[in-house]
Amino acid sequence: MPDNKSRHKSQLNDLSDINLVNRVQLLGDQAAFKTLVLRHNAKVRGFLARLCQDKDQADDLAQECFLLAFRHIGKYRPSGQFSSWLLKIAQRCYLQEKRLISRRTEKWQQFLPRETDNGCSDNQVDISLDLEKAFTMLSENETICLTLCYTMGYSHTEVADISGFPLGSVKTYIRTGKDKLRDLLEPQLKENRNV
Amino acid sequence: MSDHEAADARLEQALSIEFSNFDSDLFSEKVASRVSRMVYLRYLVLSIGWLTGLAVFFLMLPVLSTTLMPMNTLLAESLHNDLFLRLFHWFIPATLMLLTTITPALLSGFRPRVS
Repeated sequence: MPDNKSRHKSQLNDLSDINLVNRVQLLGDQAAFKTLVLRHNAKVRGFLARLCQDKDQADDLAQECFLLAFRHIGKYRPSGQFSSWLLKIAQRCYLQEKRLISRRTEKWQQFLPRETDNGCSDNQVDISLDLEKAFTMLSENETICLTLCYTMGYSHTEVADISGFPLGSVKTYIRTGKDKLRDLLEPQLKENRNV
Repeated sequence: MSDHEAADARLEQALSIEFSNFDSDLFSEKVASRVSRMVYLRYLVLSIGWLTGLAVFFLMLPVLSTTLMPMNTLLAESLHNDLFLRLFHWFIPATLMLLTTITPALLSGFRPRVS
């Protein structure tokens, strides 16, 4: 029996994404879906971790994202990559969670003492920020576009499709995001060059 | 290559490093167990719904047949046929109850899986 199981597992590993999706759609094959999760979880979790800046929260959201994907897998159109579809869901999960959190904090804000301004401006950025920290200085849209474009290797058109932003805005976000990152990491980049 | 271009190239190189250090096995196990729990719950809810629907269907049939008897008789009279009288005696309540039973299942469970 275990041999059969491992053979089935290796057979599933050999299948392409679209074949695995077909198995899930037609047969409700949970093992096929697990293979898809194994294949794409790093992308989804990395993307969400960069957006949330919190690995645990990103993992929770990634789980929700995969559950949603399983529930709505019948709606998946094989015209695009499966990973793009997953990232689309991941982005929506993130935005929904963010909206919920902001609503909750708004509710509690009135009961909390007002924060005093300690004179420390946000613009005073530690010059030795690493890449992940530097991403916190970028806007959400810039983070999304840069991550999809450079880390995941999607084209501008694909980024526009996944994020739902117009193509022109995607290009602008990528340019401004890159400019900001370059400015933030300039000393490190120069240092690397000298080494 | 200018300083600006060199910095850009290094930045792009740093950005292109794929995400790593994720425990994929543990994560996929968690997702798989949540998926199987979800599927089990879905089947449970669907079967409870079906059983309740069927129970209501069989319980309500006699009640409906008596309450709708005047309508049945009217229909049968208009047709002047004994066979139809027997058929129509159950036809309207049965159709109504079947519709009541099947509609929720149609709305929830039988959406096409492949587009």
